[in-house]
Amino acid sequence: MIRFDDVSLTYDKNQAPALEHVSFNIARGEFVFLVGASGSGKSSLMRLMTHEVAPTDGEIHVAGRELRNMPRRKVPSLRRDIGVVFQDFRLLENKTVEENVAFVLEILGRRRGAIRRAVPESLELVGLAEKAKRFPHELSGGEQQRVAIARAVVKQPAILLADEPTGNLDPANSDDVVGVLDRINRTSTTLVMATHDNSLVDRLQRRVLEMKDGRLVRDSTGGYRAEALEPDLGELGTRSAYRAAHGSHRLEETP
Amino acid sequence: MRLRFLTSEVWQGVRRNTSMIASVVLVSMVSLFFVGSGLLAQRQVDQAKGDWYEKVHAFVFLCTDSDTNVASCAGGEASTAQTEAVKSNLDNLRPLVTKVDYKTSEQAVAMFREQYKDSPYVSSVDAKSMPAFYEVRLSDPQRFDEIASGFQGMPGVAHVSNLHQVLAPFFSFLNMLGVGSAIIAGLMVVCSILLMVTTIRQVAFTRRRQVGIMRLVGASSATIYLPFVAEVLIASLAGAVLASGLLWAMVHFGVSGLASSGGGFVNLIGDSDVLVVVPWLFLGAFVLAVSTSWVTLRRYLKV
Repeated sequence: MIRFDDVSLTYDKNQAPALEHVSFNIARGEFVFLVGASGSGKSSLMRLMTHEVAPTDGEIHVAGRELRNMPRRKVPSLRRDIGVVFQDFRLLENKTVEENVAFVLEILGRRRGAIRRAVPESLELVGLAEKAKRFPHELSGGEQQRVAIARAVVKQPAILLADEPTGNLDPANSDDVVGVLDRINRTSTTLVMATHDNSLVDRLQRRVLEMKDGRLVRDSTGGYRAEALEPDLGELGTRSAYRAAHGSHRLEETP
Repeated sequence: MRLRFLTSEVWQGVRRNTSMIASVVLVSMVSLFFVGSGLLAQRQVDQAKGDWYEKVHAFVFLCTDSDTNVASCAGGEASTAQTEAVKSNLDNLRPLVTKVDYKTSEQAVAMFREQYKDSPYVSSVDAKSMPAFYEVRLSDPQRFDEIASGFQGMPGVAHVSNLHQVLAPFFSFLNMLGVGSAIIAGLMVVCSILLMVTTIRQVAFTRRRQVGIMRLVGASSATIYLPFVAEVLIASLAGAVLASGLLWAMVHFGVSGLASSGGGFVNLIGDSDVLVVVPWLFLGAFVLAVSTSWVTLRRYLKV
């Protein structure tokens, strides 16, 4: 569903590259955490996936499209297959919850009947059907983020990108939001979530891509610290046996 | 994007940016008013030229008793023989002379009284002070000199007038008015463009979140641009409506008032001329708004 082949990205030729030789492959329906310190390249990866920027080098395939040479007129079609959720929610304050969600379908030219069906379904999915008429400022942070998720998935994208969706939330609301994302992933939506919240990563035990200084330094299944989450090694024999069974491995930094 | 949604978005945009939209309306109104004034001035020139140049090109004024200071009028009022000699000479100049009309003093007075019926000087004009004359139409008005040289100084002829010379200052004035209007209109159009650019940039900034969402969910450039273009277009067309109203008021109450006060010796433009100019104003407003906003959005709004 998403494939990066030796991708590099430089915003300014006088500065260090934002990404260097990044390669990975995300299959349809996967839930992948993107972790790493601020400035490590997580957001750049997401911006490449939505083709807000083009790679300086390498190839990117998203939802069956090759992005590097994608003409500008085809970018909207790519983005219709991708939903995006941000840390700061980015809701329209002058619209109600249901208007915020319907806004996406309105600008995509969907029929009124289809919008009337899809918006309540989407709000039901995030557990906010009863707050459809509220305005964003009448909701808690967690609720606002769930509205943002409903807005992202209402067009039924194949891929959902969540950039620090729990960054502004307390632990309880973070759990709610991640629970919603998990439910969405179970509908075979490919989900990529950038986060700093190690406890979430540890708890969900999904695939983790770790970025450091623009390089992918780990691609493993498990928690933030895969070793800590590996089961009793005695049960499987050796750590290498566990990794062979689960496909988890740490990447060496390439020069 | 469906029309219902576009209408609602544009309406909300207009409500939220009332002052900026109002400024575009007013600047469009002023610029289009000057554009319209220039067009009307040009129509006035064309109409006046058409009226006069098609009717007559030259006048040969015959002597009256009061023309004692003119050598060729030494015998006083032109005699019948002199008048017929002038007519005969004019006829000899065909085909340069295509038409000759003779007006007696009485007919000239009647014409003057009709033309200037509201003037306070009408009562002071009588047949004795008004010369009889020939209206002469030429196949080539540029060859007026041949008439002038042939008749100036001829016994019984007081003087020969070239209509082009008589009307030239009036037409230059109208032309200057047209050029002045065009210059002001040009400057105001530049002002309109700059204001539209600034307005669109400000509106785009205030709606950056909405635009960002539209962009990320896969809206096409046209879908993102359309509400902005529609708002500027509505403001410009509102400006065109107001400019048309002002032009109509100017012509209906101003120019028509001038005509009724007896100041005109040519047919002046009227309401029908405003109707001819107005569609051009709307077309101008449309082209200006759409092209300016589209170019601005392509340049400043990242999609």
